[in-house]
Amino acid sequence: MDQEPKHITEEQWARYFAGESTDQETNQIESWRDASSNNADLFLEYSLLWEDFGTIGNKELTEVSVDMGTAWEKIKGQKEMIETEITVSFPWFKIAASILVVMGLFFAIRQLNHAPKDLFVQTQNNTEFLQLSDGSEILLNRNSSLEYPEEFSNERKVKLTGEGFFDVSHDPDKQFLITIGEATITVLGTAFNIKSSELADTVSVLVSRGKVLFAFKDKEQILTPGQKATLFTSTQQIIMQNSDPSGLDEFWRTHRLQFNGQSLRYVVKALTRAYNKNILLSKPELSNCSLSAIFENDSLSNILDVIALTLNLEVKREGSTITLSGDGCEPN
Amino acid sequence: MNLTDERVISALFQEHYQSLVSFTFQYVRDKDLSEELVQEVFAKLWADGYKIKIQTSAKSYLLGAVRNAALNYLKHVKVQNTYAQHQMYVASNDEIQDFLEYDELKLKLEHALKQLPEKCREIFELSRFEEKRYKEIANELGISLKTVENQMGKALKILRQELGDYLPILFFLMMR
Repeated sequence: MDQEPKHITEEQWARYFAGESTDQETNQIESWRDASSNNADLFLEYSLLWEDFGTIGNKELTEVSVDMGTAWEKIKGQKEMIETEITVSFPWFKIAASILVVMGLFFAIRQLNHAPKDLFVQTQNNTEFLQLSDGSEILLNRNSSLEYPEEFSNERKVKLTGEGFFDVSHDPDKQFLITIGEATITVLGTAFNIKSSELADTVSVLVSRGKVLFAFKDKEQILTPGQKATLFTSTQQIIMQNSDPSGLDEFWRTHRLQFNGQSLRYVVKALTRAYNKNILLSKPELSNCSLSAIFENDSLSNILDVIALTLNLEVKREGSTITLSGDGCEPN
Repeated sequence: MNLTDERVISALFQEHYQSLVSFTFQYVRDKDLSEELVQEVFAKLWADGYKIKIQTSAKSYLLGAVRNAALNYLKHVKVQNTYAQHQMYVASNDEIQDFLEYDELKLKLEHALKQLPEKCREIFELSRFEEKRYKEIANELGISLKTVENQMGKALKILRQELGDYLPILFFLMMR
């Protein structure tokens, strides 16, 4: 087994990317990269730097042969797919129109065979709490929608776009089925978070309690509490992940983040995602600092003040960007 | 330029598809994937054309967009797949949606390169642009192999410092 080095020197990085590393050194760097996600990130940063510089010289790029006809057809198909998704999840006027159509249709059908009515809830800038006829509770995140019957008949079936937290009431005889894009999530009684992203073409499920079956085409994955799986629709892979220890995945509904000695780099990333603000560290040494804290229902500026006070940093705001600066910490 | 017009997108496609795929290949080293990423960029541009504002040129926008798509892919699949047990900040929506158009990126890279001491820059360019081996560089310049290694390390260090602003932005920039 190769020893994992604590730190990769700039010379080692350069040798690695220039293809001058020995096999042993290559292995060392790669096992270092695999040792933590911070390392993996730094690795990606160096590879990006290296590849970016590769594009500005005058060297010829490797010519890749392409089939223009097929490519154009694929683009057309994808464009249509994106547009159908957008019609359902974005412009409110189109949604309003489609609800009317759907409702109209259902009223007509109801007249004929008294089927239970289907309901459609779409959130914009708000979250919405829903209780279904079987007692299941759902918190719908912003810009999400749920389609569900007013009364469940012999099956429990709903359709989600965006993100929601589901607390499904237990009923072993009637499984609860959620379709989201082309994926389905099947449960008996449990609590979990589902989220899809059109831009990334992903669907993620994070389980709080119970057991969930996550399926896409012929792929299936059973998830237990604390587990998270993400489906990458483009590559058709379901990848298992641990949920973020800071509670970031559920921040949208818990408004809570906790850090347990993680690096400032990690903390800043979590805050960036939680609060949707651009936060930078003024220099790499700052990522060596670590933080343990719990923030609940706190504003970003409060949190940053606490961090600044704890680590002796300065918070600067310029436009929409926030920069943390200070002396940094020794690597541990 | 009306980006929702099929003729406009088709013309952009005809003109740039091939070179964009080659460009993307530099980052992801997979032909099919490069094509998929470029196709997706075109599809999104077409579908969302009405809300996209091109700052410099269509080519610069497209290069920036495919590089960004490649980066998002590398972040998600390559890195996270390999290091699956250490997932810390995986999420489906940490995609970088705001990105530098290529011309702007290129300016930053060229500016950073200018900050290197002359010798250091020469060595870096021989290695990176002309893809010369360390040994060849040492022979050509009449210096030791150790010096080449040193200078390459120094170059990376300075470039990374110079681009300190842009690298974190790549990772932190998110929704508008």
